[in-house]
Amino acid sequence: MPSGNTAAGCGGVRVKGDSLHETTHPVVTATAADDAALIQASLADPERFAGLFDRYAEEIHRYAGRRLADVAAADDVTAETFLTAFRKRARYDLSRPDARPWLYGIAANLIARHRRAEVRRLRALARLTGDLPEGGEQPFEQTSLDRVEARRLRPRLAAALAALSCAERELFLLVAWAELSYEQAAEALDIPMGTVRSRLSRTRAKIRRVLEAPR
Amino acid sequence: MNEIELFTNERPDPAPYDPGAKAMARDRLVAAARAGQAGARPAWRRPLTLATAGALALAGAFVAAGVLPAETARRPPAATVTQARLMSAAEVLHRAAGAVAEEPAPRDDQYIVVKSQTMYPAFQMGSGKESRYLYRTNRTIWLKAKASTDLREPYGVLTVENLEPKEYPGWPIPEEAHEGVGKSETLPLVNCDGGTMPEHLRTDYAALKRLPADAAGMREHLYAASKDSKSDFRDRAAFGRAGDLLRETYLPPAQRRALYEALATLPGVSVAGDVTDAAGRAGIGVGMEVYDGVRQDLIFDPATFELLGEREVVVDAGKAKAPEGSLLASTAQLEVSVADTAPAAEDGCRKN
Repeated sequence: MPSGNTAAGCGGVRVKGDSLHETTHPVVTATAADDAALIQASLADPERFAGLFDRYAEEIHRYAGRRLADVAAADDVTAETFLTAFRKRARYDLSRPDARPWLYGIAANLIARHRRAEVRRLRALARLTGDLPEGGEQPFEQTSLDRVEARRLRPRLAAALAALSCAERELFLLVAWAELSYEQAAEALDIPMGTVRSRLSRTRAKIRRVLEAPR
Repeated sequence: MNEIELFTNERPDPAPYDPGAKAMARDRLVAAARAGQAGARPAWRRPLTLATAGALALAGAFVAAGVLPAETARRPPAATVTQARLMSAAEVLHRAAGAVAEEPAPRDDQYIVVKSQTMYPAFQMGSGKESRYLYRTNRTIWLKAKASTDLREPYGVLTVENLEPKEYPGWPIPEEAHEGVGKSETLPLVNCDGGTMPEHLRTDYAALKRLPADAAGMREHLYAASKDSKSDFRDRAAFGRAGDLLRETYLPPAQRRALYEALATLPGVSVAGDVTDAAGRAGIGVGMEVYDGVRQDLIFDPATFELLGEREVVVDAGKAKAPEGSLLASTAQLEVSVADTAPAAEDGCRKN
């Protein structure tokens, strides 16, 4: 296992501020065409922001539901994603018509926070049950999170996910599960396109190694 | 297939977004927009993850899901409490509305069967001394899905099993309270004095399914009977009518949703956390003070948001003349079903 791989070590994703982007603008889809216009209108008329919720709440909830073990957590992450977006709307880059990468970036950050809380909870539970790490190679909390993941995913795939660092996992799942384009993922995570390409190719190689390894 | 496509194809299927939870999230966003307090962190968020025991005790109801945090308990790990969230009455009711599922509709010639456990106060006067106690029963009621408005027509059958009484706070249990304990009786439901049931008070299924299926219309119905009264009395009367629509009845899903949403708009409705129904099931109370120092709650399951039962509790010892926290009424609705027939009961009215 690579070091720095425990879920506890998953820091939050940097949520976009006003830093520079070398990304090209994403392809404009019909439904997303006026997200920027809607966000701009919500500066004067805050209630208009609910329109963004109506467009994307289901989609964000679906992603959160895939990433988190329980539904209540997905409910919370979804609600908080839109509240956070609302608070930050004045800093939204209006040259970006599609708000989904921005929303996914906020959601990813909140999901990372939730996973840390889950680790704390598992650790607390371990103290109660005296369930100590087996083998000692991986910390208890990581193996438990993996177990949670394995229940919902084929165990082999779950093992491959577990082999990723937090940053790799975050990017990879935005592309594989949320089906963001490389450009959109770069926007969501506020990282340059070059980083997205190199990180993804490293991630894919890692996954291949786990999937091809003899059992 | 590359690794990305492989994972896309094998994505876990997430649970659908619960409409109640979604409505709540949207409401909260709109509330934040209206309040203009973009930077404010809503209070309910504070104990989101692994609240300390102190935060749990703050106020309001909390919803439990998952595993328990070490800080709050030395109970065995099998217990299931955690992720506490403070919810407002409106949030609980939105969730309850969102949780109402579609169900098959009974026919007018069938019976609605409701099993419940109840505790209510009994006040007895006469023979020079007053007594009070809390009488407890197991009840099963068979109600015609469509009842006649002529009260001389039986509208159903009731079997009652008498359970051990409990003490009304501060009053000794009178001997007669124990009479009949352990015995069951089956009674016809009929009003021998006759008369006609006013349309707006009916609670038979045929009448309930004609009630408004939208929150505004339902709210109007709740207030209809007390049009000419004082305003705070009207709110209590509206809450009382809501209880009548839910107690030992079958309120169709559309009307039940509308009722919960309508209740969320009643002034004075608040949440009481950590309550139990007559069967000992833990729940969230939603209610208000309904008469002198006594608060009435509808009790909802903290996980499924189904209605569990009701309770009445003393909130003002001075006004209620009983210690604060005393439970005066407690019910548990255990099962609602549909049947083609009801047990035979002797006709209670002598035909002269």
